[in-house]
Amino acid sequence: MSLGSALSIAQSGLNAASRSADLTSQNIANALNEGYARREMSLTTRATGGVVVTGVTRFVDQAVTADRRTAEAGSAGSTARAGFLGDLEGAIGVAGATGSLGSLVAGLEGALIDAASQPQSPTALGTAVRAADTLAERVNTLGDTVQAARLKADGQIATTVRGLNTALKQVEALNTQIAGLGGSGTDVTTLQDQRQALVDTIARQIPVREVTRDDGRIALVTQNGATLLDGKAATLSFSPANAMTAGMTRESGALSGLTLNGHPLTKLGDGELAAQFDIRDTLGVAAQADLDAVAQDLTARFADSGLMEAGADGLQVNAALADEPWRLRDGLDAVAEGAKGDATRLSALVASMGDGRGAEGVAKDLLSSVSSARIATEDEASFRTAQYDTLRTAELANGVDTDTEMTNLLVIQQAYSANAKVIQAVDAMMNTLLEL
Amino acid sequence: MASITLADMAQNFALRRHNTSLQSDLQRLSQETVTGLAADTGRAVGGDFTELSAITGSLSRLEAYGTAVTLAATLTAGTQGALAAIDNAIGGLGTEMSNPTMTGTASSVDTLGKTALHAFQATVSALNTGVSGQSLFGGTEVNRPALADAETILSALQNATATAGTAEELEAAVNDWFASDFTMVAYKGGAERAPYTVGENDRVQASVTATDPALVQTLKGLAMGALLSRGALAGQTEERQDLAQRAGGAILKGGDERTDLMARIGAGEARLSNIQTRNTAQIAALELARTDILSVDNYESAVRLEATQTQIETLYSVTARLSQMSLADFL
Repeated sequence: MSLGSALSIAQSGLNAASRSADLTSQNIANALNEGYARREMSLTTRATGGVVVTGVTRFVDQAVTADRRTAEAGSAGSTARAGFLGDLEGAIGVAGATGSLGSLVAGLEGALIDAASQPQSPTALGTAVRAADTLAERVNTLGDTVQAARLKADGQIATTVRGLNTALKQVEALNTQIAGLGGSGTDVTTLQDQRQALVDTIARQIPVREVTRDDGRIALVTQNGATLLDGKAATLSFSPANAMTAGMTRESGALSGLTLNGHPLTKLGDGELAAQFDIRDTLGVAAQADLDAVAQDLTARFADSGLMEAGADGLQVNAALADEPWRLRDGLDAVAEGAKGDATRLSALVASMGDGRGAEGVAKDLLSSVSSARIATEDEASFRTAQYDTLRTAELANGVDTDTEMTNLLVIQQAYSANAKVIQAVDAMMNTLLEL
Repeated sequence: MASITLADMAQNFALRRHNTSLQSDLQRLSQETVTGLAADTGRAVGGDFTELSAITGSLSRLEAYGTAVTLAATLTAGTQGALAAIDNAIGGLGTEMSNPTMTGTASSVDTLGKTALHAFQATVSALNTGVSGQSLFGGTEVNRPALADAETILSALQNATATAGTAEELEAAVNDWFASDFTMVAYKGGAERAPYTVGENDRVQASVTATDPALVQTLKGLAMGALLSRGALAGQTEERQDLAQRAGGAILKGGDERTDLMARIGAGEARLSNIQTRNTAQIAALELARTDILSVDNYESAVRLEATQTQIETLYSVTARLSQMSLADFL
């Protein structure tokens, strides 16, 4: 009786050792898998003697993971904002750089000064008209850049929303599997890894809190209390725009907002999705308003000269002026060319460029407002990224350490050999008995 | 089991992060060391471009005004040159004609008349000169000569004075003609040019038209003399002598007025040259100020570059050591 029991106990030891070796090899194999949480085996004494594997624990620090998700969402959001502002700043061009908005304004002023000093020269007049045309074109292009960025953000939101819906459905499915299999005692850690990776992608877009239910299911709730998933996944919906113009805003109803099961969802926390909405509805609209102010200022400065007019496609130079640059000197409505040395109108145009804060001052205001916003957002982004890095390092520190695993393996190997020895000894004893 | 281990991934992640941040530092510093300018202009000015854009704006304006000043100076110098040419052509004619001993004989009056004709022609052609494609004395009409040619003017004058019987009558007729018909028949130019705009607040008036009283007075005197050569008051020797003296007086008066005119233009020239000097100094000062804003300390960025390089090398050797330190290699 006791020999049989010893054999059974040794076998449970062998069993535990090989299960442990299995787990160790799993850990080592996944040492570089970012979505993998280290497993540990829990052992208990068997009622009938011996050892039994009671379960496998995923080693996850929920608090660190939650903090890391918040930081990651914030970092992704502010990086997206800083990217938009940085691109815009680059498109405007810093003061003094060739081809920047400021240098084009200065170029126009220079060309007008030149034309005023030699009003008889068709070349000088033509250069001034072309300089105005280049400037008008640039202001229009900047508007296009802003609208393209808004359209891109809108498209990005649509893609994200599709991705979120899929991820939520998948989490719902995994929840069901985990609850079902977990109840029957099957190892569900792989499913939990998958679920965590999915929640990571969701939390990056909309920061969520993860609430674990008794049966192993999780519920996802936004920071403002909207439930994305509790038993059943909620449906987010959004309809993307096909084109984007300056007049299209959320207020005007031309752009879609986000709905959660049909109800408007406006508070999205501080994640990438909120940043995209921000680019589309706040930053982009503000940038366009700033550009409009520049355009308005230019048209007001050159009123009646035809040098800068508001046309259907933004700023433009009057067509008559483009064909016959001498109209810059003699007036748009002149019947024929007048005195070629008359610089009165040209001098007035030069003077009007300096009125008030000056055309250059207005262009500078645009650049300064974009640049200071970019710097502030960039600083925030780098702070958030540093925070994310720290938390991510802390989270990863809980992962697989191959040295520890190798040490464990040595112990497991020893235990296996020891148990095998016991079986060998019991065998010898049995044989002795049988040979009697 | 409480775990106080550092997982492989954490180490890996930390090394990667250090590497990224060092590499981006390296890139920024090497750019700054090479160009001597801040890599991020927005940050260099703290997001406020007021000063920088004022400086670059002023620089580009000064550059444009530089061309304008040079052009204005060229035109003004041309004007002075033309006035000097007129002086040259007239020479001592005024004195000679107003001197009774020089106009004593009929033949000397004839000679003086011929000289006056030549001087008149030379003056008209001097007033018709242009510089850099701009007519100098035509006011706003810069693309054509200021005056009709000398022959046209003299013919018109001859017609207007045909009925005059005495030198006094002829002078009155010439005066009348210059007061009325001159601007219609002789002057082809336009209104006076606007002052040259050579700076934000600098307007220099240094142009003059052929209708300037000094020039009209000169033309008047020369024309009276020239009419002598075209047979005015023919046969009346005394009247012709009188006319020669009246012409001489008018020429002398014109000479005085031209001197004032040249002084006025000379003052304009001096202002233009002052402005040119001032602009050059301003450009130098502004460029210095711009460099101050945008430049980085070359020594500092070079030292930092060196330090970053050392750091990266250290990181590499640490990475190499750490990757060798694996228990698996020793089992």
